[in-house]
Amino acid sequence: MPDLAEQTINIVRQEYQGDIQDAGTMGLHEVVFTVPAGDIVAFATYVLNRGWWHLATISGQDLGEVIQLLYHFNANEPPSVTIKTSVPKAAPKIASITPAIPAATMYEREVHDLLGVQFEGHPKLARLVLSDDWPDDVFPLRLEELAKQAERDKEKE
Amino acid sequence: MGRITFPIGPQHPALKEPESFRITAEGERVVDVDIRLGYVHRSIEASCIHRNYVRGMYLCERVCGICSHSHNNTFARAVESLLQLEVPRRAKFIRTLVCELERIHSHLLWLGVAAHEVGFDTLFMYVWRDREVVMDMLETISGNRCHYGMSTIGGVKFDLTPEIIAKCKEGLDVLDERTEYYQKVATEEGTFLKRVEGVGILTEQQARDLGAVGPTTRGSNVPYDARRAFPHDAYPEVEFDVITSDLCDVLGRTIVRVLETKQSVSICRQVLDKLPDGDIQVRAKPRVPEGETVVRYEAPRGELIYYMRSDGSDKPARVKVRTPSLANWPAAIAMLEGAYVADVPISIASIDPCMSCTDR
Amino acid sequence: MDNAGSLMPLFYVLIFPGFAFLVAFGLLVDFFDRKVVARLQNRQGPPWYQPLADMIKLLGKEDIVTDHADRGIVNAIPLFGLAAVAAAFLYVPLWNAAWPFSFTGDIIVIVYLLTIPAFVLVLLGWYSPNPFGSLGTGRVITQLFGYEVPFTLALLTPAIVAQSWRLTDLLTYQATHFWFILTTPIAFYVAVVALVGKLERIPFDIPHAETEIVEGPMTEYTGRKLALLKMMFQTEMVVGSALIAVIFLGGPHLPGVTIPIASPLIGGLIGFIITVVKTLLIVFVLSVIKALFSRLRIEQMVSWCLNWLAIPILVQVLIVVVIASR
Repeated sequence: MPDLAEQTINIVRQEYQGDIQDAGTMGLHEVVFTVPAGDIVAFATYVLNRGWWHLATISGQDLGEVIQLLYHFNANEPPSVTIKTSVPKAAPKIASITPAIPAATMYEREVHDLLGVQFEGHPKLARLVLSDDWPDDVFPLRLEELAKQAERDKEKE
Repeated sequence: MGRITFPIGPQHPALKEPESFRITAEGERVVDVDIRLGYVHRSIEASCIHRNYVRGMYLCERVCGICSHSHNNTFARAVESLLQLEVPRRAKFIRTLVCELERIHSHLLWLGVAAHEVGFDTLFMYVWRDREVVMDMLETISGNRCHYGMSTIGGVKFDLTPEIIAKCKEGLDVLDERTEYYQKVATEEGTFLKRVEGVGILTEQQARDLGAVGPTTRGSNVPYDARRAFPHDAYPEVEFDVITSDLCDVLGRTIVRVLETKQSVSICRQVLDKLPDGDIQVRAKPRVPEGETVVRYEAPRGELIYYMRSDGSDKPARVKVRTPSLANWPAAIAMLEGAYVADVPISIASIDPCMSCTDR
Repeated sequence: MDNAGSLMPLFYVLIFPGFAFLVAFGLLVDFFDRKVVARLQNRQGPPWYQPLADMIKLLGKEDIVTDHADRGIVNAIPLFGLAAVAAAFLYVPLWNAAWPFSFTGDIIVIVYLLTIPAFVLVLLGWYSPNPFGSLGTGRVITQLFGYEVPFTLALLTPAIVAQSWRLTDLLTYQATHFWFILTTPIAFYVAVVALVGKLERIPFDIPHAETEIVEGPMTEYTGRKLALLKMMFQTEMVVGSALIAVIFLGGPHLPGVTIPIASPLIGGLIGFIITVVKTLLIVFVLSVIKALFSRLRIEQMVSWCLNWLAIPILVQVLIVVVIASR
């Protein structure tokens, strides 16, 4: 598996012309590439056309200063590719890959709903899981909100 | 012709769980569908961050009642991947057995519900009667009809005694025969075929582009099965086929699910025959070293993916769950465009939607 | 004696074989149908008093009228439907050819009265602000195109053969010749299948397809109105089945069973029991059909009915006319 990962990283680094900030492995089958937020559409389209045809999901997490987005792609066999990119929490904007990859529509909406990231170019960036009367400035998966939830849980116990 | 907008949901006899669809119809043709999800959002991902791994595993199991073991097992596998823990062989086989029994149960449930959606109540009653055979087997193994709590971090919790194995083999024989019968009904019963053939069309290109998973995409000729793509537990040691159908409609998905049930019965038999001796559990440390991992599993409805990140403590830093039902919604919306009003419930049912899974 | 004489028609109309008997028979037939379907589906089925319990429960529920609807009309419509079906039942001869209410042309009257329930549903859907009501209304009217004409023609074909528009004449004809199920079998098949459409049972229960449009025209109605609607459907099933039993299965006539004319009471009782058994036989056929199939789409139903009901019955009528003219 490490050999396969090495090979994949080399091939991608050779073929993709843009900037790859970092490359590594994760878990059993994943190869991770970190790219700047501005290049996400180009790199994601490259990965999709290179054979990792299935976009499994888009994860988002709050790392304090930045909100990190992970785009999980896979093919019919290992290795799979995860693309990591980050947007600053103060200005969480990134280009939407939905116009190029329609499968991303629900996942981007969920990250937008729970973490407050703006996906520019998304055809319909509406709420997905939170209710209509949820306040606009509360993002449940951000660290501030998680801390508040922990406080509330403590009070209950 | 006049346009009518009518709601299917949040409360509707066609839906077993609440979601809201606003269908605009011109006569009997659908011209617009507006879907609002989120009625059963329970903030499970956020809750996992406040709980240690064991409590999180039990919480994630309750994302869904039908594919509960999928979540339980995948969460445990994710933590084991972070811990770099190797699970005993016997535990892997027992996990696979419960995984496949759950698949049988889920597909039989779906077949009954689909029959009910087209008004074929007789098939619904027969299938759910036979589903009781699987439920009894699962209850004998784990004590529960759903939310079995089988997997734990490091193995499984309940062992299989020879009596349980004998009972399972009897049940599998019954299921094998009944699945043959349902395959015949699904492919030969005239009025049923009229309702499912040519209904809910999803072309192969659409299935690939929209990110559909599971029987929805395999019914459109896309041979993606996470058990074959990313083998785990006992799957490398059993033989099974990846079932696809090129019909691209509800009938195709029905056939895929029925044939997958037969495959699952075969896998269960192989697992029971090859069951190795040994422990069923190894001890796992409560504190998980820093790291992140991605784990995939082919739940009954499709590919389930967990992304987990740990920060060295006994609570995860991030648990991301993407359930197959969420992945299939764009495909469902594509199926409804230009469909008949009468076909809306069966088209939505054909992706086997689990609203609890979608919303978490 | 005069008083007793003038009360007898009232007794006939209200008690037996009129309204009270019809409702009771309707409840019995509903139980029979549900039990047969349940046993075919490998279930237990309800106990014998279930339809009665359902009726009592519904009558005790709150009766809601939406603002959109006219209270008077919406209260009157189900009664109107029930009354039409009950009136139709009066002309079905249950025990012998000496039926007090029969007259020339009563077949046509029965067929006409049996079309009223469909219009009851149309009006109810019309007065319902619910979009399901409008969808259901459209489907009721569309479904009418499938079954109404074949049903009428199927019931009138034996009348052409017997050269009379009087039901009791059909009874005497069948007592002396063969039953019409043997002489006009296509008409029998068309009548039974069209009756499935008329009663809105699977595979033709499209106007109130539960998983698609909730209850269709009946969605907004509860309490007493729903009880009356259900009663209307149950009694419609009785009347339709009894009608087919009388026209095609010979009614109270059974070859080999001589009705003792000396004792009209015993003779009437025997004939009555025979007719009831035959009606239940037709209900059994309807229940088996319900258990066997799934629901069709409305355009599939209409096109199937045009191909497999309308054309066969026209062929049958042609055969009958050709034979009768010889």
